[in-house]
Amino acid sequence: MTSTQAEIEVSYDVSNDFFRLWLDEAMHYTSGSYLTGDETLEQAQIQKSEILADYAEVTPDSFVLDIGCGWGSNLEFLATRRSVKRARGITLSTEQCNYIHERGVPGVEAVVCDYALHEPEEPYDALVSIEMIDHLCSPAQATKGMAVELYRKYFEKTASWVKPGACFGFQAILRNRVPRSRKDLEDLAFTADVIFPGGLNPRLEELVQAVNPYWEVLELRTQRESYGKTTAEWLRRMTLHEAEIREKFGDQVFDDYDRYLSTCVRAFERHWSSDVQMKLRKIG
Amino acid sequence: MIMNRAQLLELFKKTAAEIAEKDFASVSEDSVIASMGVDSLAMLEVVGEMERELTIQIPDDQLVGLETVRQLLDMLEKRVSA
Ligand SMILES: C[S@@+](CC[C@H](N)C(=O)[O-])C[C@H]1O[C@@H](n2cnc3c(N)ncnc32)[C@H](O)[C@@H]1O
Repeated sequence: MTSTQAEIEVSYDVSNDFFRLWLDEAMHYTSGSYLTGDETLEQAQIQKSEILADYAEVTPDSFVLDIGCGWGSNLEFLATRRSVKRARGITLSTEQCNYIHERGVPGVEAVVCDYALHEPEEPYDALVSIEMIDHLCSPAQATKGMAVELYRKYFEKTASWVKPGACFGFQAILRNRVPRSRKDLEDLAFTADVIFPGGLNPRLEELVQAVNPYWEVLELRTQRESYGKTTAEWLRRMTLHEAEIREKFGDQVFDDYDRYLSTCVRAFERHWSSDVQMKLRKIG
Repeated sequence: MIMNRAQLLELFKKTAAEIAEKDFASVSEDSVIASMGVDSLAMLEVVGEMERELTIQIPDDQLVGLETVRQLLDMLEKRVSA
């Protein structure tokens, strides 16, 4: 199975208030794009959304879908900074969906729905998806050699939702080199089992294989160092709130996220993980 | 460091013995890695240690599906002589 609803709730329903203490104010829970290296996290997140909106060729009149929309940060960017009149998100997390509706940004709409079951009433002009595919193949499925097939199903489904020639701004975390020490391997396994159960980051070559024959890769950029900076900043902000987090959410939550974020910082530094953004165009 | 096949096997047995804290005196090229009683994490550590010792780097995808000690040594030998 891919990440189930229950597993997604482990990952994202700890509490919106917990994540608010260390994510940027719009609550992007994915890598920002640092272009000069001197930006704030907030700027890097906006730059990420800009890159993906440009890849997706979004205009104010586009009907846009954000697959795995989190707390709606990218939807809000589209509506407020790109004047998109219809930006829809799907997520598996009820908390995230409620949060988006509470914010009530005009033009933004969110639905709790598994992407595999989503059927739009009319085709979209543009798609964006930011680090959602990392939930589609479990470690057990990868061991059975099912990764490319599962990703391909996703690319086939998403291509069926859009108009001919529509573009897709896609971002995913990648797994790359395998560490050679037990402690490092255990830290990575901990992240997979405790923080993102059921999830596994794809390899770049699997994604490139899987987009065929539905999407053409027009542009591709990786941003390993940006993710290193993003996770280091999350860790720094979380540590600033250590006492408050321990008191409100318990020691286990602080310790788990401390271990998770520290592992991420090392993973990007040492090339165990990376992050990719692709501009895809529907074939046909 | 140039090593012949017998030396590579000895290095493998010595490294595995250190990491798994077991005796592998009876391991040969025909031995099946999975039946050595060493888990996959420890096997990665063994590979890592041998990479350091031999100053080589093995691409991860070549580590997938290794079954016998002979297959592992084949791969190490290719890298050492490259
Ligand atoms: C790492 S979060 C990223 C959130 C958001 N894109 C961002 O940038 O902050 C992954 C998101 O994918 C959603 N998700 C995971 N599997 C899904 C599925 N099968 N269908 C729809 N959404 C899914 C989760 O609910 C979550 O909102």
